[in-house]
Amino acid sequence: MSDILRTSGLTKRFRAAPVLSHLNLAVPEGSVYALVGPNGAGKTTCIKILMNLLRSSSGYAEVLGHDSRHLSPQDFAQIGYVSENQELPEWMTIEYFLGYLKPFYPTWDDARAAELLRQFDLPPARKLKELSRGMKMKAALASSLAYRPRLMVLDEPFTGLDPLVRDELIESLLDTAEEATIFISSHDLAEIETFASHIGYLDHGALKFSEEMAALTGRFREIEITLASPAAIPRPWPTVWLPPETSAAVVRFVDTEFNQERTVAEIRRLWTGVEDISVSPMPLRAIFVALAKTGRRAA
Amino acid sequence: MRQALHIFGKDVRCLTYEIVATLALVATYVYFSLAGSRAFPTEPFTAIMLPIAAWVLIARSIHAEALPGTQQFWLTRPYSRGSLLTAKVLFLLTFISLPKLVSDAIIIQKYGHSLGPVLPGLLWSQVLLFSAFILPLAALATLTSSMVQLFFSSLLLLPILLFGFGDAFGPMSWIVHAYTAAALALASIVIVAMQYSLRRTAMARLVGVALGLVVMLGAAAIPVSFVVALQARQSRRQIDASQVRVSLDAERQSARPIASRDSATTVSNVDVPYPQIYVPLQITDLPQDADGSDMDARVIGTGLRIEAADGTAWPSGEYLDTRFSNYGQSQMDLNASVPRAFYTRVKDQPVKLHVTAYVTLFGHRRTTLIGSELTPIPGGSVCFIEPPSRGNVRICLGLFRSPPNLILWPERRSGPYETSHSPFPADLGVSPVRIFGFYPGSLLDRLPIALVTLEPLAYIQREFEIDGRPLRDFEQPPPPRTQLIQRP
Repeated sequence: MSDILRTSGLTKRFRAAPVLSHLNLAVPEGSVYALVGPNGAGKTTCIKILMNLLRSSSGYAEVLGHDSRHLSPQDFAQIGYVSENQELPEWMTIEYFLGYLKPFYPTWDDARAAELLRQFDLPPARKLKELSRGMKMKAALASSLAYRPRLMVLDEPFTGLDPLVRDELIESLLDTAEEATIFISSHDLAEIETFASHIGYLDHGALKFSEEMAALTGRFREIEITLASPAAIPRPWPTVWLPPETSAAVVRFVDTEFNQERTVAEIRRLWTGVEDISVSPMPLRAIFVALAKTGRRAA
Repeated sequence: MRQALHIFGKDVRCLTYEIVATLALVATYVYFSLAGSRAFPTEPFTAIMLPIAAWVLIARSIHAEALPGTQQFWLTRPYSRGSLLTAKVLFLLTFISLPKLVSDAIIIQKYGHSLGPVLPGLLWSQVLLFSAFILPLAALATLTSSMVQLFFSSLLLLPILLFGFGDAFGPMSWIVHAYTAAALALASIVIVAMQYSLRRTAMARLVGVALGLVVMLGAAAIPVSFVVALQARQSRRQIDASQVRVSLDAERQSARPIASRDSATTVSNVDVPYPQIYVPLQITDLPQDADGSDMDARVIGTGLRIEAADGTAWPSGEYLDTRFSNYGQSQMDLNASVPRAFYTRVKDQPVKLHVTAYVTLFGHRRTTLIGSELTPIPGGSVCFIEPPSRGNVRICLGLFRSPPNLILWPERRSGPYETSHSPFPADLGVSPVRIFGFYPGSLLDRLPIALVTLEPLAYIQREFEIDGRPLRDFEQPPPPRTQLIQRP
């Protein structure tokens, strides 16, 4: 599988402050790639550089095999970009908006556009400025899906939307995922988990990991150890384990490289009098929270 | 082109109200110009509103696809920047240039001109409108994303207008105007090209400020020697003007009142920072025209440098911005404001006045009879005399520009500031009609009357010195003021 998006050493500084730091990212074609991370991690900046909305301070970004600084109209004809802060031409009605965009896209599909209007329950004669935030997001998505883009880039598309609208958007994205690559940044981890095939975690401008969702959820485990009596935290603490929380004789931590035999052996080596070891799989949200906490502590 | 037309169509729909309002304003302007007095061709309210309406249209059309920022939807759509720019140019030509072209063509019909002879002026005024008005504002619009930002940015153009389109060089001011228009257009093209190709707003703003300073300082720094040299190249005929002399008019100098000698009162003028120096001049030994008559001469610029006996001088460098007045054939005054400190120190010393005069020689004298009807005169203007019921005033109207020729009404003479030595067929302006020669005339019993026009034939520079006279001999008494101190 070739990479449809790729960055190499991508760095962005606003004045002196680094926002992205030597980012190396690869998004395989056909994947649903979720870029997650806490606020201010650099997700939106990364996307804006990929879409040639911002210029990087150094490094390289490639989209559809082309330098992102030189994306041509032909490239944009294959890209659908939807952002929570996008300014739409609010004076247009939905119908006029879609009609206006149609000649820009050789692959525009009228039937698909009509289907999306129906699916999203969008009133064609309503002006964009008269739409709620959710409806506006749906209109933006419809205008980007109607030409069956090869790559969909979504920047926080679910922020501030009610669950119903969110479900509708995800449903339409899932339909699209069969024929397009989706690159999405989001805080909505529970939703992301349901359909993302790949995930990247960005923190303080640096990519902490980037891998397939199954591999990620497979290697993260929450471990709870019950000891015979309270004991000190062993030093040195294994680097693949996130910092622990202790309560009396109970120690909890997250293992980021879980392997049943190796993890248990390591626990028994570090503590004596281990009475019980409990291993729990972690949902994406729990992984994200644990990583965010660790990142904050480190900062 | 198809995409450009598509974007153009969208802009027309988006800006329908603004377009209708602008066209209505143009129609109103044309109506008032046609229905109003022929002596007042410009209706002031609409004449002010039209540039404002054009400013709004420029701003709204460019801002429809604003270039600064990262959140506009169009930035990630398959827009061709070339098509976008073409659409904007097409829009501005259609709804600003074309209405102006049509309205000008209609208005000038009122003054008896067919389109053919005025076509160069009509087209050149369009070039000026686009290069010195539309383009600079469009360039500013590409650097801003809101009307408020654009409004304050537009204020930055005021110093350029002040320095670049003033009348510092009288009939030769067209040289500064032409430089300013060309430099503004060039700077604007650079900014527009940068923004539509690279969309690097911060860099383009810096370049814009730098280019704006270059345009403004360039206009302010153009030396009169350059202006005169360039103007001299415009001389139509090779005329031997070597014998022409400019000198002090001793007769008028001795007859005029001198502040320190003739004032019955001493003015309390210690607070006047710049005492006035007047030097009466005369031009003699004018060459003869083809018909054997003497040519006419008018000063179009003067300079003065005062050197005191103690070695000090004012100004320290070249000073060429003195004022002057023409009193008809061959007589004129030079007027300068001298700093009080310098004046007080050297007024009783013998000084050396170094005078520079720039002179236009006029000839090819022609007479036209002017009545109450619009009558074309040589040089492309029309003149008429309003009947006694309308004030009996004598009026001349130039199309698209000030007249190139010196116009001499009986008893009154046109000053050089009413003429322009520009070789171009149009100046920048809202109205295609320029009014000049508007004299509150004495009653004229009989019409028609003879009006004389003279063509500018050559531009010359003369320098001379007045040595050994105290500076106070050239001081003009200040105008009378209410607080006078009686001489004991």
